[in-house]
Amino acid sequence: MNAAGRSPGAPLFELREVSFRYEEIVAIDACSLAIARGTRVALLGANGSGKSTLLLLLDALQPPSSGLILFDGEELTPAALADERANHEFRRRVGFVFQNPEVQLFNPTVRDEIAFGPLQLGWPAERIRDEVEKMVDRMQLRAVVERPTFRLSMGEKKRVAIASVLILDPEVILLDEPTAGLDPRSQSGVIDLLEEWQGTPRTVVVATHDLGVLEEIADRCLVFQQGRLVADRPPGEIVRDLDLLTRTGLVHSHRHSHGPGVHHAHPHLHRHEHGES
Amino acid sequence: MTGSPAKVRAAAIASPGFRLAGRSPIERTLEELLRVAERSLHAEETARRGGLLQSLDARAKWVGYAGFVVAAGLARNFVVLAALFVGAVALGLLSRLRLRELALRAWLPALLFTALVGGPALFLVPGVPASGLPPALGVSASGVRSVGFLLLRVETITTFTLLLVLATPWARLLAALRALRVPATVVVILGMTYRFLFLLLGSAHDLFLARRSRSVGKLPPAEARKLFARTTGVLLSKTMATSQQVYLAMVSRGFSGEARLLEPLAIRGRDWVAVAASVGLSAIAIWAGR
Repeated sequence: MNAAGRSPGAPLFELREVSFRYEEIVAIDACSLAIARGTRVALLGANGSGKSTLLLLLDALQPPSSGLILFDGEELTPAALADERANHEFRRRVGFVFQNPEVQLFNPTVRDEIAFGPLQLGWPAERIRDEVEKMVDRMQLRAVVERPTFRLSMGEKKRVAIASVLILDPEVILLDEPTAGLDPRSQSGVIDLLEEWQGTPRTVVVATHDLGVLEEIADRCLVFQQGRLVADRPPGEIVRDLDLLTRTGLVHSHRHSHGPGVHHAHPHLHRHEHGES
Repeated sequence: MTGSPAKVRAAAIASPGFRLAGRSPIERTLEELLRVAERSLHAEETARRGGLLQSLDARAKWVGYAGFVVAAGLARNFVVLAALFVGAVALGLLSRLRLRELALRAWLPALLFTALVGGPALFLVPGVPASGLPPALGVSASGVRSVGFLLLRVETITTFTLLLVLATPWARLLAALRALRVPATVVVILGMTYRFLFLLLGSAHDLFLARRSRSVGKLPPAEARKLFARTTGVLLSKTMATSQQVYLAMVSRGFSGEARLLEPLAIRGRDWVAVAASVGLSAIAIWAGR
C-alpha cells in the first residue's frame, strides 16, 4: 500500500468485474471501473442501487464476493490488510464518512472522537493534540469540543464525523450521503467543503441523491441501478438526461404546484406531467 | 397556567401529582435506563475530579479492586466485612465522590436487589426467632444473619465496583485490562458494549415512542404482549445491524482491537504503594475474615 513507485497516470482505484451479494441479494453486479487520482466522483442511484455497498468495498470494509479491487495498483484483500503496517497506511490514505453519523461517533466527547483515528494509527501524542485543536477550529466545533457526541444536533454530528476523518488528511475521502438529514445551512457547509476540494490532489467519492448539487461537487458521475453501473458521464450530461434519471428512479413524474413563498433548499429537478408550476 | 409551553411542561412534571400518563411499564423502564446511561457519562466527569483514586494508574486500581472484591466475597466475619465497607466509603470520600452519588448508584439498587433475592431467607432459614421481633412473623435469627451478610457483601462489592468505574475513564480501564493481559477479544466486547449502550437505549426509546404515537387507546394485555415481543425482535435486528456499522466505522479509522490512549498508562511510586497496600490489606481481611 505504498504510494512510492506508482506511475502517475495509473488509476487510484480499479474494480474488475466486482460483485457483492448480501446472501441472496445482489448489491453490486459485475462492476468494472477505474477512479483516477484527484478526481471527484459522484455515485448516483435510487435507494438500494448499491452506492453504499460500493463505498464499503472501496474502503475494504467488505471483501467482494467475486472480482478484483486494486488500490494504487495493489489488490485490496483481507490478507493484504492483515498486516498492521499495511492496514494503517491504507486507513491513513482512505477516509470514510458514513451516512449515519450516529454509528461513527462512539467516544465520550467530541475531542476524544476526533483524536480516535490518529490514536489508532499511532501518531505521537503531541501531534494528535495539535491536529485536534486545528481541526476543531477548522470545523467550527470549539463550542462543543467537550460535549458528549450524542448531545449534538445532526449538523454538528455530521461536522464531527467529517472532522474525525479529515484529521488524518486522507488522499481519498469516501462520503455516503453527506447532506442527508441536514438543514439547509448545514447542507451548504458540507457542499462548500466538497467544493473546496476541487483542483486539489484529493480524490473524493461521494454517494448522493442530490441532483441539484451534482455539478458543484463532482467532475464525474456514475449512475447505478440495481447494482449495475448504467452510466458514466460528466454531471452536466447526467442531470439533463431525464430519461436516464426517470429510468433509474432519480426523478419521478408527479403533479404539484409551487405556491407563492415556497422555497427549496437547493436547486432541484421535477418532471411535471400535470398541473402547473 | 400561563407561560411558554416548555415552562408549562416543566411545571406539570414538577407537580406532586404528575404521572407519566400513557407510558407502559416497559417504556418507563427504558426511560430509567436512558437516565442511567446518561449518568454513566457523568462517570467520565467524576473520573476527572482530582481525588485519591483518580490520581492512581488504572492497572493499580484493577489489582486493588480484585483484592478487595475477593476479600469481601470470602469474608465470614461481620466485623471484617463491615470494615471493608467502611474502607470503601472512605476511599470514595477521599476520591471526591459524594455519599449521595454512592447511595443512589450503588447502595439503593444493591439494597433492592438483595431484598428481592435474599428477602425470603428471613423466613426460610430455620432457627430461634429473632429477638425484638414477634415470633408470629416467623423470622429466625439465623435468617436475619444470613440476609445481613448477603446485604453487606453485595453493598461492599458494589461500592468497590462503583469506585473503580467512577474514578477511571472507561478507555483507561480497557487499556489497563489489555496491559494486564486480558485477551483483546474480551476487551473489544466490553468496549463495544459500552459504546453501543447509548445507541441501543436511544433506539429502543424511539421505537416505543413511535409505536405509541401510532396507537389509539389501550391494547388488551394479550395484544400488548404480542406487540412487545415483535418490537423487541425488530430492536434486536436493528441492534445487530447497527453494531456491525459501528464496528466498521471503527475499523475504517484504523481500530484493530487495541485500546489506545492519548495519555499512556504510567506506573509511578504511589501506584506501587497503592498496590502493596491494597494487596496487604486484602490478605489481612481474607485471613481475619475466615
